[in-house]
Amino acid sequence: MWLSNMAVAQLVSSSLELPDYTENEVSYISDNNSSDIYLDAMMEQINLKFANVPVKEALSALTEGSDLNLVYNNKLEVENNFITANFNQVSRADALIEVLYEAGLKHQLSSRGNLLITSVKALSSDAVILDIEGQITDAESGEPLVGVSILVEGTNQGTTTDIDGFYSMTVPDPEAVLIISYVGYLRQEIPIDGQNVINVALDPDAYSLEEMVVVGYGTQRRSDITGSVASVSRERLEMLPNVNISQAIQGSVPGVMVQTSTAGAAPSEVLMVRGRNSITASNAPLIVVDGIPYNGQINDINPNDVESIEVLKDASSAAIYGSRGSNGVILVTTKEGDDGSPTVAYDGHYSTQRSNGYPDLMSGEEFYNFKNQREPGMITPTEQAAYDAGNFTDWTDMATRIGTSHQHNLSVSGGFQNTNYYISGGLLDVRGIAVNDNFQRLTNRINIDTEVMNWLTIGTRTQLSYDDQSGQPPSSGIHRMNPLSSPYDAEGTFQMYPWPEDTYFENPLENTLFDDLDESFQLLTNNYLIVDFPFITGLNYRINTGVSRNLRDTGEYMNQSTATGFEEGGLANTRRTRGNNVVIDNILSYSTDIGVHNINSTAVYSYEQNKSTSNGLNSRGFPHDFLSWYSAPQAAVNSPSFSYNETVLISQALRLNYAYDNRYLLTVTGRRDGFSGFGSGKKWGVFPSLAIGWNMANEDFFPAKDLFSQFKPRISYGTSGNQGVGAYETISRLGANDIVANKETQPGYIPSVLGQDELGWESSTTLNLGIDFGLLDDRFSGDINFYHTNTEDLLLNRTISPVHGITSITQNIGETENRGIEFSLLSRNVVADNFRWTTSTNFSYVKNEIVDLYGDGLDDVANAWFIGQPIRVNYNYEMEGVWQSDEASEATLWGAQPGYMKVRDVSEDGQINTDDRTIIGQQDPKALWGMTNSFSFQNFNLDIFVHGVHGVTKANVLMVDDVYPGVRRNTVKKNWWTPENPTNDFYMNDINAHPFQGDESEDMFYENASFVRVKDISLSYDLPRNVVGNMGLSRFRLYVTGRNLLTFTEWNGLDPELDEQRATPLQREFVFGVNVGF
Amino acid sequence: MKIFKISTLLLVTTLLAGCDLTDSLEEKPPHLISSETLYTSHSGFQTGLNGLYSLVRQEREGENSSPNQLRFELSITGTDNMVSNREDRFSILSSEWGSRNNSENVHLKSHFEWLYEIVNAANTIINQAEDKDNVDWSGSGFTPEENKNRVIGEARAIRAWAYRHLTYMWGDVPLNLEESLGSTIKTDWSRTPVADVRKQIISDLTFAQQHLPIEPTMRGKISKGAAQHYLAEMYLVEDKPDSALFWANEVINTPEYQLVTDRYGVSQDQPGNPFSDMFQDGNSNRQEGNTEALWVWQWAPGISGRGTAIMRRWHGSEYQQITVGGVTPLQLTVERGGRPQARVSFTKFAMDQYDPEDYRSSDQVIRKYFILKDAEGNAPVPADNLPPGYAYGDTLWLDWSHDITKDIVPVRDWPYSRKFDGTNPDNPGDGRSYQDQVYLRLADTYLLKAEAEHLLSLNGDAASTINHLRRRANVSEVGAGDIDIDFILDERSRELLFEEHRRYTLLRTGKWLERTRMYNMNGGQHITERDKLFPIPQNVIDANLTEEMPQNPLYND
Repeated sequence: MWLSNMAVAQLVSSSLELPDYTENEVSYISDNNSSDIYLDAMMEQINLKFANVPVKEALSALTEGSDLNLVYNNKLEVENNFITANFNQVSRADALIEVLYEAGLKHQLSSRGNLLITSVKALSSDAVILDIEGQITDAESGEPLVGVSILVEGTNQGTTTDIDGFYSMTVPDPEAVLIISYVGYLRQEIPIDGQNVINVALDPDAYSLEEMVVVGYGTQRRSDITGSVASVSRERLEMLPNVNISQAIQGSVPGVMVQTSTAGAAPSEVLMVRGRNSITASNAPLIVVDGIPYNGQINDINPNDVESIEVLKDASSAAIYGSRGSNGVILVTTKEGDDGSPTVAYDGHYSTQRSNGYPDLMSGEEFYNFKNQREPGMITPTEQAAYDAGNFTDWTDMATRIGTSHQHNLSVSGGFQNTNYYISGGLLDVRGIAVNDNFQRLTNRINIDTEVMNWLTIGTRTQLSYDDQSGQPPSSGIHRMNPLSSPYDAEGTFQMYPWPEDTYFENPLENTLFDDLDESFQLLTNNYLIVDFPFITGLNYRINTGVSRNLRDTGEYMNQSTATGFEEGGLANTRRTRGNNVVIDNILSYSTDIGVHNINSTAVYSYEQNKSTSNGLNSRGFPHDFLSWYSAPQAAVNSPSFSYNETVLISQALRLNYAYDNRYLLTVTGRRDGFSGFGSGKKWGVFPSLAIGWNMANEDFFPAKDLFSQFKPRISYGTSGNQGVGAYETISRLGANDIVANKETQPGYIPSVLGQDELGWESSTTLNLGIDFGLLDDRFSGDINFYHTNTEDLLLNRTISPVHGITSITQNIGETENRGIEFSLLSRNVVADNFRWTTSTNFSYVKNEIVDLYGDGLDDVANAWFIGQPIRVNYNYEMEGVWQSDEASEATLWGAQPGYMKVRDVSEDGQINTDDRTIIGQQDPKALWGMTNSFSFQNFNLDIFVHGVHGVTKANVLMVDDVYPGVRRNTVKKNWWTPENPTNDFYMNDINAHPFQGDESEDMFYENASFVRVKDISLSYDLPRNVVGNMGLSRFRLYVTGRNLLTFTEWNGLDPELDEQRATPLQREFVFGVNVGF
Repeated sequence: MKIFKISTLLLVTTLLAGCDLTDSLEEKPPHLISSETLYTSHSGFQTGLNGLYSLVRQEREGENSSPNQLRFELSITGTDNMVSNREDRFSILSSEWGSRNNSENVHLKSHFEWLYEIVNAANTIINQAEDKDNVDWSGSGFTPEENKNRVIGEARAIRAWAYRHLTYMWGDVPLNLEESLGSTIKTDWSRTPVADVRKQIISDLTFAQQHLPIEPTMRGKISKGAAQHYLAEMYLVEDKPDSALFWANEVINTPEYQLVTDRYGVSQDQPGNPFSDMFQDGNSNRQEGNTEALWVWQWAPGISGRGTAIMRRWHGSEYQQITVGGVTPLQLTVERGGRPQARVSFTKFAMDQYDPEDYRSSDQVIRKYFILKDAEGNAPVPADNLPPGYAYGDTLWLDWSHDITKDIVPVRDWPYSRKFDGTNPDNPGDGRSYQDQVYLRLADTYLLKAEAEHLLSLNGDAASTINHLRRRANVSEVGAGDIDIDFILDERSRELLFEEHRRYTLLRTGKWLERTRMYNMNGGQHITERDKLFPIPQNVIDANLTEEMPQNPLYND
């Protein structure tokens, strides 16, 4: 060692003799032992003679026989340079220096023995420029990878691979390191070392620790993140034929609940991150698409256009979104173009959908007997005739059909000169399982970035979409319609009133006969400009100008051959809604490395205005049906309506990331938000947060380096807000309530809303403790998070005493607490050449509790809010069972008789009164989990996704014999008590058997709505590469997916996941699809 | 340090930039109206009163603007002359009482909330009118002072009307006289003794009758006579018959208020009598010749603000389901009153009160039979279905020879009132009706007067007061010896069947338990002392967080 250092000193001193060299330019210093051999080679004495020899030849001769490798700057023109020299027992280094000096060149020795030759005249910043190329492949299959990102470390220079996995680029520094990253693969860092051809085989990994992750207003390396950020795996986005992005998120991210609230052609999902913080304010996370808060329908984002989805869960990561971060933030990034020739991709699938089944309703015969038993003598002649003829109607069957869906997406992406583009078009056409329930969506995306100057980039992320949901399915009444009535008469004519004796019931199929229009158009565009300040390296300014415009047209006309239309003489409702949202973000960011210190700061100033207006017309009394709502001008009554809504949010935010030696990480974030919807003194809120991370595995002393590829404990603490209310909530107001006099309308107003000028922010403070880990070379990787969130000043729609004349008011009240644990693990169980098996699991548990309501420790029974209990509980009387025949005398004491419902005497005072109401489970789940097992064998891939929801109790409305007085509606078959069937399941079929009946829908049946569902099974096959190549394609994949195939649950209703139980069932779906790349 | 400087610079810049836009955080809704903006002129206050009347009118509509659960049912059913004819909603409560009559009953809750909504709407108008000094009170050809007092008077009359309902139903109730504001939410309401609430009612009515006109400026508005009528009634409850007599006489001696004794108006050439004329569509309003009307409520089909009255729907017997010889002969027609869904029917006792010649039970007032009609007679509805042995033109008689009891409800072939007949002429299947309805008439005042006279032991005067009504009804006159409280109650039933708040009348006279038990065979047997007051709704108790709100006696224990 000592010798080599001496040699270096000599070399340096010898170079000093040459005026064009400086210490910095020729430096052989290296702390790497392996370079000693190159230093030794440089000191070797040589004997060589050149007579007018080309410089290159001379240099080759000088290095021949050594381990040194010559690397030329490719812009170097040395072909015409000749040298004459005589070296006798001169060190190789001195000889080189002399030759190069003569040729006007200089050199650098790298630690790997590369001699980098460059021009003396070259500016130091140009350094050596090198052309490199290569191919990136999958390490296991050998398949080329398309679209892999290749980035020169420390710069923003980079490229991506073409469809054959090839790339080529020019690097400014042959000593640079290439960062090769591809979602789903382990990131690799490859030193160029002057090589011109660099081929890399990437190891697959769905949970790469080194990938870049989109965070609020920027990106970060996953290993640098201090908060809790989860990403949706690319497989889940790519492999499954999702209609919308919430389906892709469901079960794939710990702590995120996605509940399918309604089924049908355009299903709707409710998203909730880390449980319910807020009682009445929204619990929906903020969705940000390409940097712009998204207020539109989640259905309008085509999942095929999505590159990545990140979920920011804790206060630190979401803090940059301040007031709107408390429910978590979902960042959606759409695809962008790559350098290189155009890539065309087609994805198409076709599916069939079948009803998952409806709970067993009584048949016509069973209904007849039920009715006769319950209220004898109420059978009407029509019912009797239908019964006698055995002419029963299965209404539910008439409400559903076999649905189909097909989707086609075509995209072109690529780049030329300084411009990258991604352009796609998509069509989705669904015929849902409910009759006449259709959904059509057309989307078009244009993403373009262009570097106008080397310091100025402009770009756009633009989406156009069109939705058509025209047509109404049958009304929900069809799920309980009298089976002894019929939609059509004997001649097959549609009957306005299927049950002539009871015209309360219109034909539930009438909705399918309405003229119905429901179309919407949306434009979502973010046009941005990025300035990389030339004078301060690392300083960057970005302005986002996001505009979204949407227009929705709805119209329905109930013609006079339907009961509803007949009763009103034709009834039309039309409405046009217009939304106009504007976002302007100014983002200044600065990043720099000073030695081992890495600093990254972001400042944001943002203005957001959301405005929507609508105008509608309700018309009744039409002269004829010919022109549908277009003859409204001739209608007897026309009632127009208008609405207006505008909110403004102004935000200032600052974030500072600091990393020391890639070991200690610190993030400080602050945001100040002003929201127009709050009272005059409460408009502004400040939301700070702090997070610390420690990449422990990078420490020298870390004991288990072989075991852990990553071990990063982190802690974050901070406050975020929930604005929770809409516009004008602070303003007391009157509502229109007209009257007539002398048959003329007289305008009237009554007090309708109590305003609250003190209304302000709801704020959540979260402490998050987490560990990110990677084990055995990332064979196992994942994270664990514990968190504790306290939410204060909850925005509550509080029930107040009816004596006020108004029964509820929105106020800031109370405090809730969420404590939870989240866990995710990716394990690569088998990694063999032909067979791979990976398991990705996530689990979350949250305990939700009301800490305080009004500061006096009192519960609020009117609102069913109890201190120490979850926010949403079931609070009611509890059915204990059924009074049995041998309990007749005791039953009498309770005003009951055998066969009647036995209500639990909770207060044990011998009678049933309001003290006996009790808490019967919580309405939000305690635990959620998802598990995906992926198997790949040669070109086959099998994914199985199972999803579980636990700890939910819901009222099952189908279990109430809510048949109306006179038994006029159908109900689900039950195990009714009879003297011969002394069950405790369900009381007897008697109008008085339910003590609180008479109010038609008393929820008394609470059931465990937990479930485990085999959500998706997907099998795909990729055609072998040579076959595909012969077809002129780059990729050809076939897949088949089964969705909602199996559900395990104790729930007896329609579906434990759906809100409404008398509704369209969840569909079981089989999808056949193809992905083709050109 | 460079980093620090740049960060500071950025922060300062962004914060400074923020100041310019903060004005845009002020909300300026162009489409909302508040009491501050509306109650600045006389016409603004008129719209407030219109809103108030639209709430009041709900008494003859369904809960929550639906055509279901007639609010009026709560004040008439479970009495000697009206009985439950269904096993659902409020009807099941009034046929079973006991545990059905509990603090969680949704209809009691809805009723309580509705009445306090009226109280608050009235309080808002009263507070705004009394406290604001920059209101433009001019207009309508009256002095600003007159306008202001009449607005306050109308609102106070309606407030009194709401508290009248509340005290009859629940006894002691919280007395709320202030406009509710977001900043003054109370959780410690207490129940004001009923006597104090009545004092307020009397004070409100006394002020109102001073400023209300005899002939309301607009149809649908409460008159001076109506306010005086309720004063008379309040003094009867307060056991001050002399004051009651004074106020009843004030009404009766107003020359503009006269009993209708002759045929008049749109129906005078049709079969009928002076009594039935008052209930015909086009005849109910004072402007249409009804000199007896003190307060007439307004509806209209096919315009906005119309509302939907369901008096007839909730009471009319389901004639379309009457079965004769296995046939349901009767079609729904407009003449028969559209589609009824009887919940609350007459008791046999109520029907037995009438002499055959009594105008008040004439064919135009009470439906007692149907004529089978052919297609021409029913047009545009098809012909009735003929039962075996029947021909068109034959009569189907309804049968009230027995009582309505639990085991036979719903009874379809039962007589029903035609006072509020009528439906959408284009749709005989419609359950709603839209004609104007007499809400309060002078005959009721005569009966209050008779009650006062009887309490003052002036039975001769009482008889002669009642004879005004009996003469008009074409029945024999009575003498002092006939008068006792039961006779007065019987006469009230004959005159005001399906009009008066019968439950209140019986409670006022202390006769509810006795007479309901005697004449109501579907529920009367279950009522107890407890049921004289309804239970305070549970949400009223539950929301009173910081002070216990006591329940009425014998409930919940």
